[in-house]
Amino acid sequence: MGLSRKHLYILVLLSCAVGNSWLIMHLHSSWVNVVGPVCLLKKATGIPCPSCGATRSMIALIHGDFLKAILWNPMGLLLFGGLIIFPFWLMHDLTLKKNSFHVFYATVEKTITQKHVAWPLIVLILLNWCWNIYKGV
Amino acid sequence: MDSNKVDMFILSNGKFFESNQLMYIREQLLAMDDSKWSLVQTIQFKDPTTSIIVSILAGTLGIDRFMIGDTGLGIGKLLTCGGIGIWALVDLFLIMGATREKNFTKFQQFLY
Repeated sequence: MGLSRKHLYILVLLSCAVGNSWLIMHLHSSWVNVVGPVCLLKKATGIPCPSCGATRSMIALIHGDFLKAILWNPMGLLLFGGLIIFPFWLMHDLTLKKNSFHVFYATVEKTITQKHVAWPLIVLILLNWCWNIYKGV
Repeated sequence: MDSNKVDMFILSNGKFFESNQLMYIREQLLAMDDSKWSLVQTIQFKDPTTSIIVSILAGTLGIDRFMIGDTGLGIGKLLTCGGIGIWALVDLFLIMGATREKNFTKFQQFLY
């Protein structure tokens, strides 16, 4: 068992706040080129990481272009879902003093470390990475 | 347990723990039964130096967090380009402490 409930909730709320502000900032096209690529791997080596292009994917999704979102990076859909659902889930937990999110986190962590789940996921991420490098995101 | 054995354990494994945890570990080992000594020697700890190297090389991909057993946080880092780069930088400073904490938890689990 890793994180305590308090630490997990603070971390996820903070991440969602940063993620949503990041997304809103990038919705205005004037901001897009101000910060530039933030990925340390891409900055250091020029090779995109498996999740590079996720912001552009989420922006495409907000504009309603589902196909473009998948073509940029399928991980964007996953992140977008998390950014929308997690804050509401956490608020629900905090107001009703429940720990359903903590239980969910522990279950996911336990499931994902099993070999028959972990290997397909690793292969998927590696394939996505190869695709990212091929696309030159 | 024999204090010589305990000191030997502390000498060879001291780098895997925070300095403030060492006194507690020493006391626990001294109070422990002698028959457990062979088991204590077999516990494998994660090296904080290895985790900082992994963090520098592949921190953006969350490999450092996966390595010390924080799978959930590792996925978080992997999906977000190392938390838009910020988390990966912060973790360079946190990962050694986190590894030592994990080692301490492992040691405590062994005790009970």
